Amino acid sequence: MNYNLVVVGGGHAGLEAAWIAAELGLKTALVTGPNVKIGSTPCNPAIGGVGKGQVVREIDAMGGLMGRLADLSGIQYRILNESKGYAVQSTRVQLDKDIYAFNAEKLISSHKNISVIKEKVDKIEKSNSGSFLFFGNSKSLIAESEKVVVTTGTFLGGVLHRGSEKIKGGRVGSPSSKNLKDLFASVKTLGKKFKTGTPPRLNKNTINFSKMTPQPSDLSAKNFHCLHKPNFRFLPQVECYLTRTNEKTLGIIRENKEDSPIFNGQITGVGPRYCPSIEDKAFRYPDRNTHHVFIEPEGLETHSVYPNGVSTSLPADIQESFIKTISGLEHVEFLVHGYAVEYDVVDVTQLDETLQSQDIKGLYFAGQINGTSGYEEAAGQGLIAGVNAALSFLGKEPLVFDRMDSYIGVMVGDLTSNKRDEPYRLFTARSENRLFIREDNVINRLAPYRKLLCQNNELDKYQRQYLEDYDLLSELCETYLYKMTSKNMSYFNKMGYGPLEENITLAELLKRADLDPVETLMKELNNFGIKFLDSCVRSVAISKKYAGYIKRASTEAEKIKKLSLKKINWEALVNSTNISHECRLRIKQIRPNSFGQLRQIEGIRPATLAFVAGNFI
Amino acid sequence: MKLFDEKPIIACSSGVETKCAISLLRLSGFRDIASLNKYFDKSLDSFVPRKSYLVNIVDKEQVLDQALLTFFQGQKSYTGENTVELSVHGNPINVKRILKLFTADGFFRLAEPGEFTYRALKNQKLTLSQVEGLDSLLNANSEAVFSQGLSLLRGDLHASYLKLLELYTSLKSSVELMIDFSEDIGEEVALSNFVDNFRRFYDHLESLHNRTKVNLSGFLSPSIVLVGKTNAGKSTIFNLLLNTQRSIISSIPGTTRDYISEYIDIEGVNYKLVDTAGLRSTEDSIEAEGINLAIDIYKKSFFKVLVINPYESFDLPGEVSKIDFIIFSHCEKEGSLDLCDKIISEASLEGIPGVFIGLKESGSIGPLQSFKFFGPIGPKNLGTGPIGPTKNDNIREALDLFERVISSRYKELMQSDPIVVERHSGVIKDAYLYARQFKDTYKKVDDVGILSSEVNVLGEKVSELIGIVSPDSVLNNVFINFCIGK
Repeated sequence: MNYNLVVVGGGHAGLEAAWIAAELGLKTALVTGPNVKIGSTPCNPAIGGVGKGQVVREIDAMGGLMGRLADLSGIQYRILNESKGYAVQSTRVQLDKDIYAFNAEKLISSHKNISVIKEKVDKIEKSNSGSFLFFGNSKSLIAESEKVVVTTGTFLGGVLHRGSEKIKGGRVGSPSSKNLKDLFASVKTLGKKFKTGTPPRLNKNTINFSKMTPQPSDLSAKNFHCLHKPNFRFLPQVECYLTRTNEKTLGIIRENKEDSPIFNGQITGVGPRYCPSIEDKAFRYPDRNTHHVFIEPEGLETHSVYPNGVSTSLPADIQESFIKTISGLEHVEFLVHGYAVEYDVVDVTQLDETLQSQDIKGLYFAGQINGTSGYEEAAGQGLIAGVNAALSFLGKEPLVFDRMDSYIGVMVGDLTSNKRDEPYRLFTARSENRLFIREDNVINRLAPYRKLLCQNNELDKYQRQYLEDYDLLSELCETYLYKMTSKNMSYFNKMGYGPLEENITLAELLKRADLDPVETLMKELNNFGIKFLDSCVRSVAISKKYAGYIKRASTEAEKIKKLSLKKINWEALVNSTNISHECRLRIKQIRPNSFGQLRQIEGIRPATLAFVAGNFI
Repeated sequence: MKLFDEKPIIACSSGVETKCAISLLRLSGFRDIASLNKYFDKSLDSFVPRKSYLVNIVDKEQVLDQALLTFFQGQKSYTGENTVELSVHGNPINVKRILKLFTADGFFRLAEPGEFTYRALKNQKLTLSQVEGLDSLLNANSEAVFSQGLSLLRGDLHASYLKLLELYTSLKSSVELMIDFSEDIGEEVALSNFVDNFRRFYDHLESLHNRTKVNLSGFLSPSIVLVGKTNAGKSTIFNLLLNTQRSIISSIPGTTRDYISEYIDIEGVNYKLVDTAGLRSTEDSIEAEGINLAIDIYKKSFFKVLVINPYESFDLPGEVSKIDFIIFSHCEKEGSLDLCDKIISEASLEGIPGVFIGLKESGSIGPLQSFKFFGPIGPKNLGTGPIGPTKNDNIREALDLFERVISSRYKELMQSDPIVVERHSGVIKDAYLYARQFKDTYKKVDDVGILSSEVNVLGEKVSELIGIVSPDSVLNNVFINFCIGK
């Protein structure tokens, strides 16, 4: 009944928050609705992706769950941007959703410090002693705690839309909770709802896959969890398939504009522009008639597949008719129809960088309720909220990630510094230090933070050993010299390393433009007869290769940071006749206080930035 | 830069030291017009903005001067603050006395150089580029700089820079698209989108760069340089053009060892006319130095005039190229024109405008009338086509042709709308150089991480042009050489 921490919600944010707090010794309760699965993946069946893969590894390096769960349920692996150089590569794993949720529940309920409570929370109040009280149906007290992390996703004030149908709920099959205001009266919401959507689910036995391009699992992709064998697969691997929409598909959608809740005014919430519904694509890009549709299995046993790229909230019959125009889906059977959901969002600018409410101490928010989209983003925030709720309970210093060395840091910084009016998703473009925030060097980046948690698990031992090896190998690269001897020159020639015209170090060799740094370092170590962990060799080689570029980026970021911190008077901007009407509207909405915040506002024209930079700061 | 306070300021905008009929004083930044009542014999409260009133300036009831006063209110003034303009009598003693009156009680202080403009900038009356334009206007020595100043004030050039920034933003987005979204839209689409965007960005940058290509120093104070072999007659022609006899003329080859220059006015533009040392190979180190200097001046000059004596062998250093005009001297003798023709065809000088001239007596200088003019050679680009040499004693015709060619060349340059603000052309050249290098290499780079890093460097340079990156240092530069009162 009495806990150190209560986590409300059992999604990706809730799982990480509860797990890390329990690891740090807090007596933790995870409260989740009676009919809601723990760790469910209600939208696309995949974890990772460009930028997001980095987040999963960051969570893993901090001792979080997401990487482990993804590996255990992975049925197709892919390295995104594989042909585009080491700096921008990311891992993505397709999941068996049921196995993911099964393992999530198993892990979380087996932790000695965690109690799972399957009850719906109706109200949270602060008691006179300052603790939080959680009430369920008919005002019964469910729990009491010092700290609380709210991770209710799309459930607060959730409304589902499909055609003219409107159902209260957080997702199909799950009734929504009350509005955020009813749950916790003194919390500020953003004042408007966000919207997200999901495509229909289809029966894979009724699909003609021979008309589609198969995408096999990539065996060279590495598992997320650092203690799993990198290339081991826990489950049999399957394929995804690529097909495309065509003129007929989009024609049907365009003919039925008045039935689309997004376009007929039924949905007022703002959806993400980077994850548009098929209606968005049809109406916003009238010249394009073909869009990718990836057919992704939702598991090994289930017949359900997820057609990625055709998220929709059109009426069920229209969904069926346009889906059936897509090559390979002519005779497809629908298992669930697509829908959109609108939900309440917290005003994140009232949270501090630990995601704690500045008004109500001890209350943390994480995940989609903060206006983000994506499982990884949610989990990353869950980790931050959970760690900091625990540290605060233990009377320790808060833990804040620097945006220069992690995507979690980038995300939390972005979220808490600026009001936004559309769901937030991580892109690598949001980072000023993209070439440094990679998957391969996650331990170098995150181990210093993990160390602050003062744990001594297998993970910590692994990280210590890894860093020792890394430093040793890095030192070797800087000091090993290829002298300009005829022997070395002919060796360079034989290996295809290019000419040896002066003495160069191994590190300098790795920087050469035409050489693959990882392969080269592997070959050289082989030649020396030294053995290092593959992941360590890889990370050292890539770090050497990009060292100059990373240094340049951080100098530039320093400059930008200086400029970004400059204060501006937004009211003066709103009154300026030299700024376009739209820009002034946006400025008035967001009310930026610094040049950095102004830059971040979507839709601010460069001319406005130039004008402000030249005249106001 | 010194950070100015917000005190009311005063300055004489038309210069303090010179005697003139009227001097203009500017007062800016006072809270309301009534606060100036103490300096005048009338109450200013009822003065309508932007109308002129005759007033007396009084110091303790003593009338200092009669003046015309115009009030500009708040945002509607040059500085964006309350401003008064006073036209007073232009005697420097009078002006100083009035300035003293306004500053003695500490109500006003004398403005720092450029402070009125600084306030205009601060109050959003001008953009940074406009301030630079104003600088160009006020300090313009040539028409080109003046018109560029106007263009900056109007914001044309700034708009062109913003276009570059917008194109850059698209380019940058296309890189992000390649990294974050290539799965959504397909690799080929992402790549071709990048290539298209880079081309658009590059083309615009190149067009800006073309406008910086002019020889800036040659352009701001354009020079006309005479070169030729020793004793070709350069000094004679120099004097002819100046209609003076300043340089030492003798028949011993190689007397003009240094260079001599004088200003001449052609159709309202001031050109520096330069007579250089004769070009020949020499053992004399001092003379060699003079020759090197001549070649150096020649290269930087706006208009290059080659003087040829058809009776001497024609072999000029390779550095003497891009000739704008030829003057054949010593053409008074029979058969000299045939020799000229031979040189023209052997040295491939066809199509370059020029004239044949001759002296009455070889080697001596007579009055202007004694020159013989044999007509122009092939001024193709003037639209008349090659004309055969005709005998004409009127040297004026030769000079007219010479001046016409120069003026049309200058106008051509003006039309290319060169970017003459040095900070701008410097940054544009720098950005262009980087972009050109990038253009040559990016197709070979298959590492998008590195590509994005290079594109970021381009972005830094573009931002520098507009002043996003370091507005402080840009401002510093702009305000350093500002005249008081603007």
